Amino acid sequence: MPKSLSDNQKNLASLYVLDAFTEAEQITFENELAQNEDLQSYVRSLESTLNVTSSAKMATPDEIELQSQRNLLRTNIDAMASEEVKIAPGIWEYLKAWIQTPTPAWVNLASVAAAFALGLYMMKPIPQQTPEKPEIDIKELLRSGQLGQIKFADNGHRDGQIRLAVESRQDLELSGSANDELITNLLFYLLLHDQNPGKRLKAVKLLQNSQPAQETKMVLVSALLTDSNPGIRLKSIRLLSTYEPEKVIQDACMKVLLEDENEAIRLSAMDIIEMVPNSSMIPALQVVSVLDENDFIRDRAQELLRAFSLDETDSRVEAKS
Amino acid sequence: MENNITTLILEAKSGNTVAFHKLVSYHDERIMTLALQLTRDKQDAEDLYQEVFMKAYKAIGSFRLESEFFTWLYRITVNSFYDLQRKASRIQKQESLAPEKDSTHDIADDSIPSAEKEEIQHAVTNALNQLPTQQKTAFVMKHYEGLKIREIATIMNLSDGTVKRYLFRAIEKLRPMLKEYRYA
Repeated sequence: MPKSLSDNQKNLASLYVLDAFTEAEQITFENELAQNEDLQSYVRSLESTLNVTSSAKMATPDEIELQSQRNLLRTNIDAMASEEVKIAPGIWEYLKAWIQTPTPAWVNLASVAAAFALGLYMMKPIPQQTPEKPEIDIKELLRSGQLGQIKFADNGHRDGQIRLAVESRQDLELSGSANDELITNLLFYLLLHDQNPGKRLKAVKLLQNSQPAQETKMVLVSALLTDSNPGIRLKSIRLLSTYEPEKVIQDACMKVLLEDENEAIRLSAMDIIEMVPNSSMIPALQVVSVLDENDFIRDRAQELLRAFSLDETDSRVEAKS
Repeated sequence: MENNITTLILEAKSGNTVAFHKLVSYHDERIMTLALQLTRDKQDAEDLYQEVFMKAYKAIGSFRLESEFFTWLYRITVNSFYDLQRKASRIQKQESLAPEKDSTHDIADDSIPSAEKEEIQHAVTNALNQLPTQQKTAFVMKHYEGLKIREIATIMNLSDGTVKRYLFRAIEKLRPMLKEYRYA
C-alpha cells in the first residue's frame, strides 16, 4: 500500500471510486490522478474492493415474493385496524368526557382517601397458601384447548432460546430450544390456533430450527392447507420442501397447485412435485397446464407431462423389443 | 406519476388503506432491496419490510409533503435497521456461541461459479457486518443503492461531510478485509 499518500488524498480517492464527486471535483481529482502513480495504484485497489462487494450484492426481490409480503402486510394492517376498532370509539369518548367533567373538591378528597386506604391494604403481606408453585400440565392444557394467550417474550428469542409467555390459570414464562418438545408443541399451537398472523408467522419461522419430525410435518401440511395468510402458507411449504416428499406432502402440494391463489405457493408446490413425479398426478397436471393463470407454472406442468409421455413411450418400446 | 403519488399520500393520510397499499406497491421493491443489502439476510429483510410499512402506516398521518415519500420511507427503514442491530448486538453479547446465520443465498451475480460465489458472499457479508452500523448504512446506500451524498445525509440526518467521512472509513476498512478476493 502506498505510504506516500495523505489521508486527504485517500479520502478523495474513496469518494472518486464511489462516484460521489461533482463534475468539477472529478476533473481536479483526475488531473492529480494522472500524475501520481501511488494514487493510481490506491484507486485501483479501491475499485477492485468495490468490484468484490458488487459481485456479492443481494438479489433483487422478485414480484412474487413482493406480492407475498404485500399480502402479509395487508393482513397485519387489517388485524391492527380491527383491534383499534374494538377499543376505540366508545371507551375513548367516555374517558374523554369523564376526564373533562369538573369534579367537586369533596369527590377529589374522597378519592385520595380511598386510594390511601387501598394502598395500606395492598401493602399487607398476603399469607402464602401454597409455598410451592403448583405444577401446570401444559400438554394437558394444549390437548383440552384451555390455554389462553401465548406470547413471544423478549421478541421470541434470547440466549439462543425461544422464549414464550403463556397465560393460563397462572402466567408462565417458558424458554427452550426449538427441539424441546414443550416449546415445539407451543409453536404448533400458535401456528394452528393463534388469531394473530404475525405470531403464526413467527411460529413457523422458529419451527425451521427444529429437527424434522413427523408431527412437525403434519402441522406444516395443516397450516399449508388451512391458513388464511399466504405468507404463512408460503413459509410452511418452503419448510416442507426440506422433508422427504412423502405421499401426504405430495397430496397437499397437488391440492395447493390446483387451488391456492398465490403464485409463489403454487410454484413451491410445483418444485416439490417435480422431485417425485408419478402418474397419479397426470390428471391434475393436465388441468394446471391449461388453466393456471401463471405462464411459468403452466409451462412447467406441460414439461412434466411431456416427461411422463416420454417415459411411457420408452416403456412401450422396451416391451415390444 | 408525481401527482398521483401526492394524491395517494393525501388519501392515505385521511385513513384510506387502499391508497396506502397502492403507495406500498409503488415503493416496496426499493425498500425490500435496501433491507436486503442492509441485513444481508432474507428473513431479516422480510421482517424489516413488515416493520417499516407497519410504522409507515401508523405514522403516515404525520408525514408532511415537504420531503420525498421515498426519503421518508428510507429514513424509517434505516431507523428500524438500527433498532434491529441494537437488538441483535444485545443477543450476540449474551450468546457468543450462537450458530451463524446462513446468508449465502440469493447472490445477484450469475457469472461466478457457485462455491466461489458463496465464499465471496460470505466474506463480503462478514466484512460489511464488521463495519459500524452507520458506516455500513452509508456505504450500502451509496454503493448498492446509488443514492447521492445529499440524499444519504437527509435520510441519516447527518451533514454531507459526515456521510463522506463514513464512506471513506467504510471503504478503508473493507479494503484489507476483502484483499484476497480482489482479483477473483
